[in-house]
Amino acid sequence: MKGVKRINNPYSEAWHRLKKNKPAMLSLVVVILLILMALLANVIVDYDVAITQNASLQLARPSAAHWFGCDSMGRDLFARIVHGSRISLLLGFGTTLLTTIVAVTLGTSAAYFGGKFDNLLMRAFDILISIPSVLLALAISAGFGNGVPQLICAIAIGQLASFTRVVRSAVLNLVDQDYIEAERALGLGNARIIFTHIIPNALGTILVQATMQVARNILMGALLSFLGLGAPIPTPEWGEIASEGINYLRYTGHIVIFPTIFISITALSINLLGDGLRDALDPRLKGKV
Amino acid sequence: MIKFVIKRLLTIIPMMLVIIFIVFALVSMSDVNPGRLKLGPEATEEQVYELNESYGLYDPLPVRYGRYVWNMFHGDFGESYYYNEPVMNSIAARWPNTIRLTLLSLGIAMVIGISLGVLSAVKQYSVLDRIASIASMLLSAIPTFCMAAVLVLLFSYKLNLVPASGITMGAKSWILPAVTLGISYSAQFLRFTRSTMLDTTRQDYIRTARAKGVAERTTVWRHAFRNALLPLITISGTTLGTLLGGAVAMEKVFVIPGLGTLVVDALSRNDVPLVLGAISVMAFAFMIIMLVVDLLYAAVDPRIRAKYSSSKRRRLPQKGGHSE
Repeated sequence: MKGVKRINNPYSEAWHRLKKNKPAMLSLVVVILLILMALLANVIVDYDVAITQNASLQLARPSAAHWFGCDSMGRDLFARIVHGSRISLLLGFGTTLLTTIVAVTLGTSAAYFGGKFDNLLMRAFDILISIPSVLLALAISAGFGNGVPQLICAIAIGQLASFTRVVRSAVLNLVDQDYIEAERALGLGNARIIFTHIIPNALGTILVQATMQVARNILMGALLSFLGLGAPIPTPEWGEIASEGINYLRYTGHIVIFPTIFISITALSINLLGDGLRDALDPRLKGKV
Repeated sequence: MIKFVIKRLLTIIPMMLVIIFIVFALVSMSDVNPGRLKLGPEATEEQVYELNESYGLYDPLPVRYGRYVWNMFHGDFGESYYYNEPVMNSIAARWPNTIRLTLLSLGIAMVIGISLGVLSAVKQYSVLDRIASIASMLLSAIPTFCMAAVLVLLFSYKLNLVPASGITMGAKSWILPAVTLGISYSAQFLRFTRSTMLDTTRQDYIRTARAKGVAERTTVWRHAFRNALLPLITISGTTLGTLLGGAVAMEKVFVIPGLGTLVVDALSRNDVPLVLGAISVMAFAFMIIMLVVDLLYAAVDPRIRAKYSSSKRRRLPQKGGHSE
């Protein structure tokens, strides 16, 4: 096996296909820019600007000095949006990372080892999935208080069951393949089979699912922040900014409109990127679901 | 069929007990001290302890859970810390609003999503199909509460057509919340209907129907749509779970006194029994709806009935001899 040179790496092939997909590439650029904005927030604008209140600028409309205007406490909205991206994106990406790690571990072992563990896990997830995720988040917040770590746990637990099911079914399709059987006949250990053959082969499905999950988690994070379960005041977060703006809709719409634009562009680009990834990794699925 | 109904009804009891246990255990982690909350900062530690003792708060978790469930079966959800009245009263006053909002928007979402989904599938790659795809893409990226805010800005403050909040203006005040929520969730139905319809229209029996000269409209609605309906019923159940989240947000935006606003307000007031009661009622309602969906599924699909009437339940993917 060692002597064979890999000519066609499926991922470099997929990358070639993805490069031809214009909406997906544009989305990738947008997502990278958004991530850079979150990482470089302190370079773009000082955090103090985002939390300094100024009575004379209350509800100020967008102007040259304050690009996105000011909120009800006279805080610069541009600075709040830039710094808010940190928590909003953390809720999207961090939560997805957490869910992915747990879901891949559980889903792979459930499908690979099967038996009682699989049965028990799936029954447990049947129950978990029948609690609407917003209710679960509300219950977690009631027990553990409000805050970003609680929010991340709430979103992650809410998505865990469905993600694990996807991983499990992807792995179930693999364990019956002849080459896995051959590995076993060769006497390879379970860990070796799982890490060098099962997971790399299921990676495409996992990657696509995780990408879609990021968008869903960002929306869920915004919703939960809107309901007041998020970071404590005055930490900016997109959902929280929009939530505050709704109280002043009577006077001005800009406090709601700017975070809405940012949330929607982020979710839209991630979704388009996910679609592109799915088409690139598995061309057979194109145009479906 | 009766056997299936009974079996399905019986599964709901243990499920509900587990769900309430999860919610109960989570909420019990709260460090809210109801005695202190009620008696204020002047009360002595002893007084606070006594009041908490009388609530049974120092009992072990399983005991408290058992007592809670026992009382719940008798319609007693405990007493709200904030309102000082039974939790059931607050819930009873508010649940009709939540149900009305949820059902209205589910109806709107289904009508818009399913009809556009069928049309896009029948006329795949047409202008309508393109527009519908782009619209559903956009809709699933905009948070419902943001969309609601923008629509309020437009229709209430700029055009003055519908009230911006409250439910005091009768039917008129329900238009904007229900339509917003409905449109927002129609995207899910649209995409799902389109893809199942596309799958169905490629089946042999559709070709047969066309070949024997059945009218196009009959082929689409009687042959294709009826078969695509099955997965649609399932998706409407799960969509309802996410729609509930949107409904909670809508209640907050439009200041509708429903269960969602009740929980959110109770949460900010540390009113643990009220949070617990309202979440349990909503989870219960959701389970009942899932039950109805399952029964509907069985009523429409004879295969499901057959599966349940045979003594052995078949499991879907059969794994062959890989376990060691």
